[in-house]
Amino acid sequence: MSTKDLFKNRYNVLRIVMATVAILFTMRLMYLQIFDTRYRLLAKNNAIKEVDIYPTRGLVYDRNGELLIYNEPLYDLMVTPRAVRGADTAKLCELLGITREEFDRKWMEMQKQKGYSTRKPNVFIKQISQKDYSRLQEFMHLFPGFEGQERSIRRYPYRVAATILGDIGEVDERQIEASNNYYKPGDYVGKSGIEKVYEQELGGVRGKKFVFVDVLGREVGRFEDGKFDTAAIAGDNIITTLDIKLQEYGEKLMQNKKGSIVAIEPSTGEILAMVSSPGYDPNLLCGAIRGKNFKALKEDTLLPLYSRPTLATYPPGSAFKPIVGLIALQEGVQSVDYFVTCSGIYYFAGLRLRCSHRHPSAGNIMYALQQSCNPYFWQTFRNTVENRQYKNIREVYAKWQRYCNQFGLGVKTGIDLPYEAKGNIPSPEYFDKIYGKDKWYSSNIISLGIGQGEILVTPLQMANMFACIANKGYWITPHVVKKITDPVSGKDVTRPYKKYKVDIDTQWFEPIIEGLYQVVERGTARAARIPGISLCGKTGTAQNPHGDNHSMFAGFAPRDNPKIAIAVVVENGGYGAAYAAPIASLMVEKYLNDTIQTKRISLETKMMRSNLLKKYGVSVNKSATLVAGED
Amino acid sequence: MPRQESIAKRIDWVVVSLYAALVIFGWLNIYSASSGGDDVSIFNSAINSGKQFRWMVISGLLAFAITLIEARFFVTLSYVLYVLILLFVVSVFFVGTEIKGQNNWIKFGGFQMQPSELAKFGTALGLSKFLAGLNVDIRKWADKLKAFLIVIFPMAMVAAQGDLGSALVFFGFVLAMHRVGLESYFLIVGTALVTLAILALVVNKYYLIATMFLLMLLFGYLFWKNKKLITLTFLIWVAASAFVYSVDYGFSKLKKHRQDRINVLLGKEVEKGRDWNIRQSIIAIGSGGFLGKGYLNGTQTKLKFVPEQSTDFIFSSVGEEFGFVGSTLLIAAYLVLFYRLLYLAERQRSVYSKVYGYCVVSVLFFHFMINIGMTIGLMPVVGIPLPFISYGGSSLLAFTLMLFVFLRLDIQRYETMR
Repeated sequence: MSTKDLFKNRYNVLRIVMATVAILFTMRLMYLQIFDTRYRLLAKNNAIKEVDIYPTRGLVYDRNGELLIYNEPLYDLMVTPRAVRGADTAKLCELLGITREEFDRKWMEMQKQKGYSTRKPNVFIKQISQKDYSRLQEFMHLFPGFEGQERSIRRYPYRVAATILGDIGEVDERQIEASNNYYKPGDYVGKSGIEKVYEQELGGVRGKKFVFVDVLGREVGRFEDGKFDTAAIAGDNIITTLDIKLQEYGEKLMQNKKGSIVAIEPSTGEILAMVSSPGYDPNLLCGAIRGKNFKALKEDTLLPLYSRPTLATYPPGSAFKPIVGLIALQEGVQSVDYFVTCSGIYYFAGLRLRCSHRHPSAGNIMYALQQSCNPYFWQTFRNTVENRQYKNIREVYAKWQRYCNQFGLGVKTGIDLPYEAKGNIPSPEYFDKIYGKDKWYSSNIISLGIGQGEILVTPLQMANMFACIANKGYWITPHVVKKITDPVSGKDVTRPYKKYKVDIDTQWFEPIIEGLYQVVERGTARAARIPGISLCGKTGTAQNPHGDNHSMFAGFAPRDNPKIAIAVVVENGGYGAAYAAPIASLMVEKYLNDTIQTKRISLETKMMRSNLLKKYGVSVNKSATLVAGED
Repeated sequence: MPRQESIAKRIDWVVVSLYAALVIFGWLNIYSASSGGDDVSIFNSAINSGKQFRWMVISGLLAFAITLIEARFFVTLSYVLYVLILLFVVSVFFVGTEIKGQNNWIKFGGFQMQPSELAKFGTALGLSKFLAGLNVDIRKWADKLKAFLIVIFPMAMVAAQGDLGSALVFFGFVLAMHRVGLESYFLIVGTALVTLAILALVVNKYYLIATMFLLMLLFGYLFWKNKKLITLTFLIWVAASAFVYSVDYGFSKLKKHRQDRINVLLGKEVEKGRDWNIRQSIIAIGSGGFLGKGYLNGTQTKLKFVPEQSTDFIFSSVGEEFGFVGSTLLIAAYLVLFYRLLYLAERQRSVYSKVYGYCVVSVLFFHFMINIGMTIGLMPVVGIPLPFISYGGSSLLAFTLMLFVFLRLDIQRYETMR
């Protein structure tokens, strides 16, 4: 080589190229590692996963400690396809009780699941019962790649009180938003009944743990040894006011009939039983079968999902007469011994109104109740609203409406169940609108005196109104939850319920209660007489323009120190004495004596067997034929 | 031949120290990337750091042995070694085993290696020998052709075996040729072609050709009097268009995963998950921050989010655990090594040693540039090791061999090598 190096300067070319690349890399690193903080978050999301720990949902008991809702462990069979090694498919099918075709179909379905991965466990078969799973578990070692994942499902050992206890289902978009994103898609929340109203108490508080996950999302360790983890707080247990045996008995009496029973303990406002008929087995809406059954129940023309006791409204008919009487007595427009002639027909302002049946004229309010005399209460109502002490009928009527509201009529009772109708006690403004302001008179609203016309009440309001009569002037918000207890500390949280007093003096209740007693003893509800028990009550027949009248009865027992107030409605059952009164009496007897007297067994059998389905245009109660899985 | 103690005195300790430091630093990072946070020994041969330790010992012995071998041995046998190594590379076609999509592994019993790593060493020897020839002048077309053939032949072999990354490194030899007189327009045209190739992949080829046509018209309008220039411009346009067209065609013939890798780099939409490697690597490096998460504390590293992390993506572990400071220090260490090697190359008396030195530094630099560029998202994912740092016996042995042969040449730099 010549001594003179012609290309000496090229030494620098390479040095410049290298320095440029190094500077370029440094700038890029500066951007990635210092200026762009996004990657720190991405790395955290990558490697540290927040895993929710779900608390166990609270249990629900009846007033006597009977378990009404519990959590049953179930198993999902999971498969990690990569880990499956030469499994004996025939044997597995046999253990699972499925055919080879079903197995293949389920496998294909699994592969279509969202988030399917051959490296991670995927749900293969959902909700295998503990019994089936234990059989499978013995042989699990033969099937590498398969594993059981424990889940839990709500179970209702008594297959009754579905609309009260309620159900749980997947949370919807609206609820997620309302919860400030506490709930996540796929979470289960109460959808109806107690499950819905007491969601917060039953649901507990979700815990969190932070774990390291590897690239396949597998948990490989705790982050900072669990320093930031929070434990799940189990849901509270709930003790309801229900007497589940009474509830069961009520549902049996109501089978093949549409209607309601509401039984309240007057001194506390506790709901002892609340039957919505036809009902359904609450287990139908649990787990994997929920969607299918919900659809079937929703399409049923008998409306089993409809909570009749709190939502259905009826004109109370004669069962409303005690209230008309009480208001008149309190207002001083007539005495207890007020006399009204009843010739069977009541002439008023050109109207010709009929009494329900022939009976001797009533010389006092007790006898008028016993005979359920319509003219007596028309006259009583007239006396009340035509009271000259008030400026005009509008003012009196407004006060009359207020009395009714005080009895919990035309307003919501505030029961701790999700849906409640408030019924209707028409307002003076309503009549202003129909007849014109100051252009309506007692003749326009006379039918209110016998519980007909615009007046509408729910069975719950009816029972509550009689609880108020039983208490001689007050009622406590009817409720289905007695106590909420923390399963860990065992502490009770007894909730105070509001007490409402009506502006009617105690003295006026005596004659009314006497009248109600006579109704059962020797009046229209003789069919409901229970030897040895002083049942006080009133039948009612709600006029039904669409078919047979609704049979109603409301009352309480015993007369002194009442233990139970009850309202029964049997749709299209005719007179109150036909179905409602006997059913109410059986409920009362069952509750107070725990047994039905021998001579009343035939009545019990008759009520249980009676079938009104034809009147509803169906031949069979479809919902009762639905089967809630195996047992 | 100098005596032993004078070897110890005359060997360039700066390079030896940097070499040792990089290898040990690499080993520590391999441990971090392969232990996954488990409590295993760094020497445990069940994980990569344990295996790498064996290779480190072997490489140390090899380095020591090479410093004892008379430099003239390599100089004299350059062509022989070049041919032997080439044959070894070719033998892969007959007895090779495919590992991870690359059909370039040879197995002897439980031992496997990639001859392609050795090909760079062989090429360096062959090229140095040729350019050191008495009447060889790279500026002459015949010599240029011969020099290029010496490089292209092994390069084509390696590329044919599916190792596109290693084949790219052979472009490094152009830098060595440039040092002894290859015209600079080779570098300029080369860079222009790479730019055009990237443009061809990013934008629609017809728009590109049309745009170049408009540019040509503009140029013709400005210099319409100069017929020669206009003809040249036209020819350049035709050549560029043909190139753009062929790049697009060639791209369509590439294997799917390679297409995806290039698309990822160019920011084009690819099938979900295809950009996983590079994304995870950038996340790991980016999450390291200024000071890093600390040795063995990288969550992305420990939890194996970055695939191939102890081999091709080892820099992501460095970036995560040692942060910006550690990453730039490592880059600085490489730069010092390269500058030192260039300095050593410049002080060689013989052309052979100088060209060989430039070959070594160019190959190392290309590995460095492509590998780190890939992990930080500036280069396509082509899968070549980071010299001295990445896990892998073949590459560590090959780099050690190349480097220490040069150090031995440097010891004898006052002697004439030809």
